[in-house]
Amino acid sequence: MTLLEVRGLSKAFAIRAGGFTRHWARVVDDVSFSLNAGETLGLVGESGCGKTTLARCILRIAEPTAGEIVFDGTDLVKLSRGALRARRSELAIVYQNPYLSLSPRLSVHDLVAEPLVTHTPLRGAALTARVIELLQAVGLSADDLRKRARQLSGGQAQRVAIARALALRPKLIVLDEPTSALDVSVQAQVLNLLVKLQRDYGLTYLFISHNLDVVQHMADRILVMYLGRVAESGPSAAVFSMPRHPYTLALLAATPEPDPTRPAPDIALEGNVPSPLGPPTGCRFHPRCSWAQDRCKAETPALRSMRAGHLSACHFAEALPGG
Amino acid sequence: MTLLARWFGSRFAPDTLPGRLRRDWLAWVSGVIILLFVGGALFAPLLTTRAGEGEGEPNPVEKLEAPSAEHPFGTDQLGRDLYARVLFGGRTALTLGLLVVAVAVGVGVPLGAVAGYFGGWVDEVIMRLTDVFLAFPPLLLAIFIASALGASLINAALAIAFTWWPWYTRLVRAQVVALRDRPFVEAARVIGVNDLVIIGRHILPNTLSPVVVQATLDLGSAILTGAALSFLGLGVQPPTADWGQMVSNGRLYFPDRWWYVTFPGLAIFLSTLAFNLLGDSVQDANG
Repeated sequence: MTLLEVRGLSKAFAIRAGGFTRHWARVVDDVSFSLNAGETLGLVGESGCGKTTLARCILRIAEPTAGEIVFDGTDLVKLSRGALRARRSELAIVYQNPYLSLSPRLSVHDLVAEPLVTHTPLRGAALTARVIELLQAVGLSADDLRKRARQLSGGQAQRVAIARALALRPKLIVLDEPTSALDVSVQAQVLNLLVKLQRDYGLTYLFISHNLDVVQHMADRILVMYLGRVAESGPSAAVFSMPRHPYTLALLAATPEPDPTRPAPDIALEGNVPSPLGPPTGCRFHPRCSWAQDRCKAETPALRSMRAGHLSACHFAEALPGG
Repeated sequence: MTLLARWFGSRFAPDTLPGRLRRDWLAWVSGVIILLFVGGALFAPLLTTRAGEGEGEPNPVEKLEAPSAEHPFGTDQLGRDLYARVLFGGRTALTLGLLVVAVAVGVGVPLGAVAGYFGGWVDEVIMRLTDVFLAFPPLLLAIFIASALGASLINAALAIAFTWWPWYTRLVRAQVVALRDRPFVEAARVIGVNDLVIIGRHILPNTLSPVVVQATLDLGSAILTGAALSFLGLGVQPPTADWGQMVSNGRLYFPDRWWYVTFPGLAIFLSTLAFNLLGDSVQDANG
């Protein structure tokens, strides 16, 4: 069952360039995908590729410029403020840095209780009991109730953020780089907790990361973004075993290899992501692509189906190595 | 620094706001002065045998006497003990100071929070309104308002607060603008928390320290401005004791009866100075 279907979503920011001139930075450009209930979609890309903006649009904190976000049958873009507020209980987010995303003056109890107080009539002892239950579900205990976020370790604080996201049993949880601010030793614990919670409660995740290893571990499906557009998408196994976009190939090659005897990859990503203010013509990846032809500079590649559910936006997807 | 400060410093001074305050000897001195004033005002009837005179009863047989064991600060033209008058005057001064700050904070902080949080036209309207108020010289505006409302303690306090709330609005607005896009605020918005609850629970608590600093500094200035108003006859009416009024009356007898202006004047000076020093210390300890 499709829980979330995003169609043609775009988000452009107006940037004033003196006087009345305005530039539009198309940070998210015509992105479409769907996410089935109970699955994890991994959203991958370098920083600045629009991953977080896309998530903010889905959560309706940012106003999309165009497109539809059909969540559980209704288009969130068309909802009124009041109707949207009521449905916020079905969406949740876990941010990258728990010390920034947890209110500094509130106790763990108040932080985890906040969604419950906002959307349910639970109060007093029943509320505290539920909060403790949630803390236990994420591996914390009632001893932590009175602490502030800064008194907790990074891993513990992120668990509080997860408990908060979990409180209302939302249908969709957006995980925006949930482990990249944590110590490597703690990352695995938090990831395993997320996997366990998904299994126990049947959660659906939109997992945003720039770490391919983590995404491979977590995601059922992958969506690779480059400069606001979808470069490639498909089932995790297919994308990792047979990437059909040069950008995905380069990202995979850039992942540190734990085995030093293996030869260094020969595909290197050079330079920075170009500015979305003046994106390259044609295929947005062509200035950094080793396979780029003249056609790539002129013609924007469409997302084409390779095989079951595997899409690529490359003119030469079939000609790439490994196929 | 002083031995006292070093002792307290080594004893319990973690690097926290109270810890840093404890190491600051100026904070101690000003704190003690303020406590003396507050204690003097609260327990005025117990600290003098002439509470009646402090509240205004004339005593024609002891007019304008110089300081002595009987009258440590001398007496005024109605023979009232000036020590008692200064203690009771502290009640007026502190009441006025607290009232001014309470009204200015009560009006200024919510307006600043709303302006900063919502932005747009709400922000424009509120901030242009503060500009209008800030365009007038504050004492002059306070004099206009106090004379329009009529002379009394409450009216003097309202008149001063009327010219002061815009500073709190500006202060809080700047803080809120810096805080409103923080991830923890966005996180509350994703949950669907009401905007006013977000302001009250997540944003305002983080703007408290500059407000506390400003309020402490303002207590001193409010006492000074209140004394100026009552010096002009726009404050508390006789026979209630008031420092500004005492200086105003005493100046007729200066310099022959020097004590009449000196002790209430010192009270104004010391209380204003103490609140300012404490405010500075809180600010430094905060920074």
